[in-house]
Amino acid sequence: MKKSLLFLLILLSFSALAFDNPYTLRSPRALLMGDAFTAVNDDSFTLFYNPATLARHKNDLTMYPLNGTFTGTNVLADRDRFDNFPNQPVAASDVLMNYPVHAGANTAPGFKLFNFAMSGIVSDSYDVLLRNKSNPTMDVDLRSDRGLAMGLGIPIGPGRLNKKSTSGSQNSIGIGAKYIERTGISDQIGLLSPTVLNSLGQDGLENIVKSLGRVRGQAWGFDAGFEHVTRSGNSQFVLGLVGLDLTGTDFKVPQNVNKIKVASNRDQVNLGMAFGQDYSIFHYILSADVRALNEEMDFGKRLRAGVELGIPGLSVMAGMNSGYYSYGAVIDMGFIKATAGFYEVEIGSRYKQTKSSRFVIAVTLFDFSFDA
Amino acid sequence: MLVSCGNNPEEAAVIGIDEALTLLSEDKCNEAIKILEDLDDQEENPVWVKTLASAYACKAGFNVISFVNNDIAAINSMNLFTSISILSYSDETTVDSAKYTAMKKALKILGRSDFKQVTRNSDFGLRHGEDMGVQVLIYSIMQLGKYLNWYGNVDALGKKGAGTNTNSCFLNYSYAPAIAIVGSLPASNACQVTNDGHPDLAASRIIRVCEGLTLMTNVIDVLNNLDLSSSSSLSSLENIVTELQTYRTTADAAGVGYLLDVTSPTACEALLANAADMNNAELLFALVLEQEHE
Repeated sequence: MKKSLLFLLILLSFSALAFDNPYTLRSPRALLMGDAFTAVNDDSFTLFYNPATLARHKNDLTMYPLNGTFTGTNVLADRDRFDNFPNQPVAASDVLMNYPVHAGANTAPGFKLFNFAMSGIVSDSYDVLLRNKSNPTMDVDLRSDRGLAMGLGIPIGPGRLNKKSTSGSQNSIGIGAKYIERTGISDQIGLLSPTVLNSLGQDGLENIVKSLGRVRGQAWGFDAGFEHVTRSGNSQFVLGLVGLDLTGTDFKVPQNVNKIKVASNRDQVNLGMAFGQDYSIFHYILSADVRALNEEMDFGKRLRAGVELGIPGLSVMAGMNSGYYSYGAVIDMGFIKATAGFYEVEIGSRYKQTKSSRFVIAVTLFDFSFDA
Repeated sequence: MLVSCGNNPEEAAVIGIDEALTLLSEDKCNEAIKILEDLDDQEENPVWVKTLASAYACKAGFNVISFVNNDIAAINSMNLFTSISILSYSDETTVDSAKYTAMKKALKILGRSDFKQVTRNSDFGLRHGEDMGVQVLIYSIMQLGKYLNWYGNVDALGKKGAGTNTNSCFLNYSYAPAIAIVGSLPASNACQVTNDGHPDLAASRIIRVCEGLTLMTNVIDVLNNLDLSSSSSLSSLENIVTELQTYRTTADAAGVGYLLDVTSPTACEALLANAADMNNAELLFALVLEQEHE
């Protein structure tokens, strides 16, 4: 096992982007738990955290037919900045200097059938960051993803846990694959460059994005993970190790004169652990991740920690992601589940370099499980 | 398990540039320069070139947003040199000041081999090439302001020869056609004699004449190769081209127009080492800087 893990690490390469956003999709619940979710991920976003978790899927079939997540810049966190906001674009740029602007929407309908899962990927996100007073430069990461992900978790070794198990342990491995078509642009462009000036003169977001130049790329991505679960009474401990986007998910785009490309998902090796207890009328989960073990980065930037406290119908979450805070709640009314909260993420290369404060609102409808 | 792989040079460059851009948003110019210059083999990376040049512009105390908001509208193409000499960044109190030298370095980084816009476009593609072109244009105008302010010895209104220094002209003139031009200047022009040039221009004549000349030629070169008409903030700069074209016509008529095609300071210095070409540069200064800047 150690040799296999070492081989896995050697295989992984690293490719940094201007925006540190190497993910396909994030779970809204995870975002509010500091994204410390590698060893939790028992919601509809399992495929995007650790496919090995599918081995402890408790039901024969679980459907996630309708869900939507919306994220955006939390302007309430920096209200003073927008007092007397100038009309002129260049003057406005002074206000927006080093202020990350984000908007995103996604849906990931899918199902889990025993230890297999499949999920659609429909995700649009817009990230813009203006920096550098002596040559204002826009980091632009616009991406519109359409794709499909699937994965399988397989228990290994003698131990097995099922829905009714009150004690015991289980080891599992998982593999995942995804195909994504990504349309967009990932670039660093001068605010005063003819390209940007021309695009700012366009009407409508669609025309602005078009005139910035965008390309379409396709990529296959592969994930592999390991998970250990120990259960005793109402307590559960989970340890997970996963390689996401093994060797990098690089989008192949047509050759173009301006060498425009879309952001790729770099590979990441993540280690997570979680401990929780469920007393029927009350539950809690404590979780922690150490991210990007295959990359050289500030240690604080790797760390994630989260907590969830819940009673039937309501859970509140809080967390810390690379030194930044998150908090929010989930209301579960059976056929409808609503998640809302605020979170912060690091989008720079260094620990506490550039904070992006965001909100998240998510709604899921008609999730259900079925046992034969 | 917590020991990670090291970053390769390409990855280190992305991280370094990312960090430098954040530092430059906080006016931490020297820290940004250090990070960028520690990166290996980045001369062909357009983002590195633009960012390093801007780090030196930062060291020169230059804020593009402030310049575009406050200064561009103050450039009067009918009174071009006077208006540029008193922009908010033009004030100079010593020759080759640290800020002037830092901006000179920024322009050298963007200049590449021959300081031509077509070279930037072909080296980096139109998108990044034009982006650099705008950078060169704005930095050159800012630097030209400092040049005109110091060597023109201007007062607060931009009047030549009325500043705190003693000179009334840019250069000392010894070439007969140049002397004739100076002799024909109207009484309203401060430059009425041929031996009252700025002492610092006389001290390093070729180098500093070339600095002034190439600042003008770089502005002309970029404006002739970029379309800024779609920008409400920058389109007014295109009016400068019309004015500069009249200087070109005058220079061509005097047989010295070829000097306005020299964009590289190094090439200029090699050229002006020839006495005949230096004489022509003298004539060009008389025709353009002395005649057009009162």
